[in-house]
Amino acid sequence: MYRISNEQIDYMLQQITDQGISDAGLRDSILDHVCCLIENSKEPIADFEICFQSYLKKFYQNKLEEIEVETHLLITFKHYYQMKKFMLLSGIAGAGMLVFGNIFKFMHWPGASIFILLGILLLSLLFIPLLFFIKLKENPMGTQRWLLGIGTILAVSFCLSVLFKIMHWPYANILGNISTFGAILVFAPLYLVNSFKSKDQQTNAIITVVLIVAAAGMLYSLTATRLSHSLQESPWLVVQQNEKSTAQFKDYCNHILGSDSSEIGKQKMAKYYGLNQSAVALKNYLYQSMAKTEGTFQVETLFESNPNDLVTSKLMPTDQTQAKELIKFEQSLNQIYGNNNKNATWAKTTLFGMRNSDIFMLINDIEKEALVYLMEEK
Amino acid sequence: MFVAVKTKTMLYSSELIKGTLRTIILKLLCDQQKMYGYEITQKVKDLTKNRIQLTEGALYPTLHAMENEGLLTTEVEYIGKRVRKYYSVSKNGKEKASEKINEFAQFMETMRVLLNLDLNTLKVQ
Repeated sequence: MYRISNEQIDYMLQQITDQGISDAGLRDSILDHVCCLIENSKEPIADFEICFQSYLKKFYQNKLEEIEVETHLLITFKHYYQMKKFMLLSGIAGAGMLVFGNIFKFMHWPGASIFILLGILLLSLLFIPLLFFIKLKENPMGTQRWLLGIGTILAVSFCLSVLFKIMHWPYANILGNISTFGAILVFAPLYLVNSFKSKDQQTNAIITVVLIVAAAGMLYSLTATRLSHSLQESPWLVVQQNEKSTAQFKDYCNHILGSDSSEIGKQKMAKYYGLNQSAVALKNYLYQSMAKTEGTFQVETLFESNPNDLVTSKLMPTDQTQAKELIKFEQSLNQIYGNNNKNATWAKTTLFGMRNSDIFMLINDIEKEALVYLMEEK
Repeated sequence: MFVAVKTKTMLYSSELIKGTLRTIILKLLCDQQKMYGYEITQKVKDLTKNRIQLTEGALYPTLHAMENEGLLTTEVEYIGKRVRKYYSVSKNGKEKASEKINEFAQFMETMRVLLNLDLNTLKVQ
């Protein structure tokens, strides 16, 4: 049996390293194998180096490096297939949950939001990133690499913006705008430039870009579902009409009450003035707090506020300064109804939780009712 | 994967053997407890009467990949300045071995039916 010296081992190890094997484990394996072959050689070894090289040649077809490349490929491709499997599963599960979640939502069944939440999270945080890594393994070159990266970021931010929007979380619109404007202004031009390099892809590229822009446009039209401006203002037009008719009614009452010159008539007139003043003060206060303006009543500024907002926050019962006008109004009602103040209590409790536009008409109604009560009182 | 199998008496094509290298390694290691790379090639050579000679270029990448997948475990022995790596089958590897052997047996049976072969009349040279 041929005995191999330490120097020869060093030489062989160096040769194996020089020929492109950087993995220590693989290097040791190859070294041990060649040593075994030399030791067990049946033919006498005249020149060690020639013998070593001839044995080493058996390990490869063109270069020794092939062995390491092959090892690397076998190890990574195993992960590659696992990742691919996992990506497909997460994609199917995510899309499925999203569809089921929406069906549940349409049918008003419980659990819809959980399905939608999980579906979008699976798609955006598992499926799309895995797709990115798998595509990256296919070694895209230059612009394609950029397209892949930008596309992934835009897709994830789009999915998350939808999730944030339906969950009423902050920054949903920012995410949505980033993804749609990014798709139109960055992704689409880059994609066009990349595709125009080869003639057969040109038509497909234009169609894809048109689809991206059209889809973004559709999405924005879908989000424009707020009430139109005229529809927002229409409740105030009703309020204006109501104000006019109430004023006419009050003129009529003023005329009737004014014609009674007796002591009771004078008292009724005083009560009427009190009610009128407190109602006007209350309405002015409401106008101003809604329009957030100081000073005199301004119709123009009033129209800028949203009539569909609830007034609860503006008439806090705990905040005495804010509810001051309401209390005055209540007191003037008490003056009219006396002990029979059921209506006044009712007025106070109903005023909370109403729409801005409705509250003015309600105040007018209460006022008119009180006036009728006052005139019929003997 | 460039599995090259050299035979003296009969040349098996590498495509034919490509899918069976893992099965061969797993079965040998199940029977022999622990073996190192050179030992595996010699054992295959002896058992097949030189008909199958595993190439190093195919053997070592597969051994390393199987170790990475947890099918094989290794222990190291130092022989002077040399490092010898012994491979043995892990618990997962044992399950995989029987799975692979069964699969290959079924495959052979299917091929026999498909190609209408009578194994008794076939003579291997």
